[in-house]
Amino acid sequence: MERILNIKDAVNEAISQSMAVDDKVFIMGEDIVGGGGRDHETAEDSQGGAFGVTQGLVKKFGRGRVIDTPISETAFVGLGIGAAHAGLRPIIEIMYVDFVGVCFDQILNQASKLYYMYGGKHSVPMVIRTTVGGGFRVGAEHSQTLYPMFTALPGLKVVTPSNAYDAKGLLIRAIKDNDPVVFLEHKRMYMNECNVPEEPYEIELGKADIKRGGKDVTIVALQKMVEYSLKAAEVLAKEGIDVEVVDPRTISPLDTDTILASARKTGRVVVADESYPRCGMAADFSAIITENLFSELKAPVMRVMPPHTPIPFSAALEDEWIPDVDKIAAMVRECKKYNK
Amino acid sequence: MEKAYLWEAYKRMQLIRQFDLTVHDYAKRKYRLMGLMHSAIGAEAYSVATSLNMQEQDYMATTYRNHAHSIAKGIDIKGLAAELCGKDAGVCRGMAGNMHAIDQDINIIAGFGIIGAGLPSSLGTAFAAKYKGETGLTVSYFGDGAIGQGAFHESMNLASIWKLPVLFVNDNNKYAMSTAADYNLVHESTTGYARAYKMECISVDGMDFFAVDEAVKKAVKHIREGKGPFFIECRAYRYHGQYEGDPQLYKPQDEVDFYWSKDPIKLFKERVLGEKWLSEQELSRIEADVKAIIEEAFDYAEACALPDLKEIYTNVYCDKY
Repeated sequence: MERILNIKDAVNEAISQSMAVDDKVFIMGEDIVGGGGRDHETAEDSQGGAFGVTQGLVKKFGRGRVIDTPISETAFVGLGIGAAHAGLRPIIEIMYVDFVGVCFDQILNQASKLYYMYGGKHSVPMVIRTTVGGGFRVGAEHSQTLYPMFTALPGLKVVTPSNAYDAKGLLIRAIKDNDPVVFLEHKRMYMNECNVPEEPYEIELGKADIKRGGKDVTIVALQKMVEYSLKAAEVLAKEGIDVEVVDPRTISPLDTDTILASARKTGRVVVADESYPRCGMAADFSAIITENLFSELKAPVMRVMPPHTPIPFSAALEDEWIPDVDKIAAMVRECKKYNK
Repeated sequence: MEKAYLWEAYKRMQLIRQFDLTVHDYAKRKYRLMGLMHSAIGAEAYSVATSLNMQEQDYMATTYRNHAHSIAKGIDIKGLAAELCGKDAGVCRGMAGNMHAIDQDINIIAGFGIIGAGLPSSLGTAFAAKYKGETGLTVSYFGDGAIGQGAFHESMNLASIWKLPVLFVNDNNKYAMSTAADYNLVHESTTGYARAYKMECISVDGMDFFAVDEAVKKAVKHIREGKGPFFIECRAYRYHGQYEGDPQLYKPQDEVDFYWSKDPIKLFKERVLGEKWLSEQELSRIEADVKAIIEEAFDYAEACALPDLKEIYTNVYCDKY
């Protein structure tokens, strides 16, 4: 049966269904309940996190499992590592990915390395949920798309859903996963809706999804750029350019097979990405495609990316900064025209 | 005091001392070991007094200066020696090395190589015990240098507001690498920081096994009764350098001499002999037993195989796709 849900509610449902079946799962973060976190408070929440994603969870599971923290990311991300070590399955929320700066050691040196350093004895089954993405008019310190930093680290898994169906299935899988997973929610996609089954289901990590089939040009994109690429594909279809949109869905592990199969088929690839251009995902994807398919490509891999600057505040500038439908479509046209 | 308890205490203190004297000797001769070594000589008394008051279910977080803490908690000496030699038979299969050499099978979370980084994780094992309704506690070791880190302050605050069962054990060994504690810290006693976070605390002579033993018993009782975290400052001394080979130009000789007069092994022997709890013969027998264990451990370590090259790839992820 059809049931339409947005990403915000799909994430909430994934957490709720995971907590209902496994009492080792708990969730912790700043203002994820709200209302002061005081003992005398009722079970009601006033916030449900900065974006309302965790609203209602405290009513179902109580303050013992849905836990407000002080503004101490280092302490509660590290707490998650220790709790995971002791057999629990923490979901740790960092309100904005930009805040990892204050707790990055716990992710960079601890969460990602303990399993390896200790010879595979104790894994760290922890999910760090956080938000990425620009366009929210919140300036340079609350708008970044920093997933390349996590992807650069062996030992972490990095999940980047682009619709509500994927968000639910990937999050349920991530919570069951035995490795530390960074789960990134795009803050300008929370209201995006699609059909989402009510029952719990899992999507395997490391499996890309062809969001639209086509034969002329492949676009590889993540999150908001998937949405824009699909819109660009509509425009381009009217011009006779048949675009395939590949959404890796998880960037660590990365489904290179699906990406390369699509690139081999079309021979023309555009990568659209919202992270910074230097050492960003577009650079990474482009290197993988080029070194594997150099002789088969009909055009160089072309990239649509923001400029290498911090994110400007003014709407006039920010809208120019973020890659959009027009820029993606223009790059696809250029790629299609290119003759080797 | 019970003879068996003191026997075990002296054995573990001797294991630590002789292990790290061997490490010192080998490091000096660039023999058998791989990489930088961090000696824990001076940490014997407080480490053993703390561990002897822990139960099997309790967790521990330690640092890159971990030999005393691990040996006190009962790590396999052969496995530890093999780890320092980078061997597959090491406690971490040669993947961790001296800096991180602990055994997760005896409830040690990690040997955290970044100063202060283990404090947040120790909140997590403590939180898990509370969450599951168990009485286990977590011992979190850190040096005076860690107090400069935000991780320390965040962890102290969170442990206090949530009354987490953590025993914070501060090895105030006077130096953060080459920089003296009295330069780095505003409080003369690190219990000043515990008081700021309304945490129960005691400052003890960390070289005196009996003083630490008494303090830890009090702390453990407090924590197991659900009254929240406890902080013990162990005033100790790092007899060796930050690492083996450190010329230690920053240490005044009269200070070094003063602390050798407070050698924890010497203090322990004087006390047990004075009280007639253990005899000279008994202490000598323990020393000889330990010597044999250490020699055997390093001979074993040297004979063990190096890891296979495929191990580079083996344990990056637990769930592979």
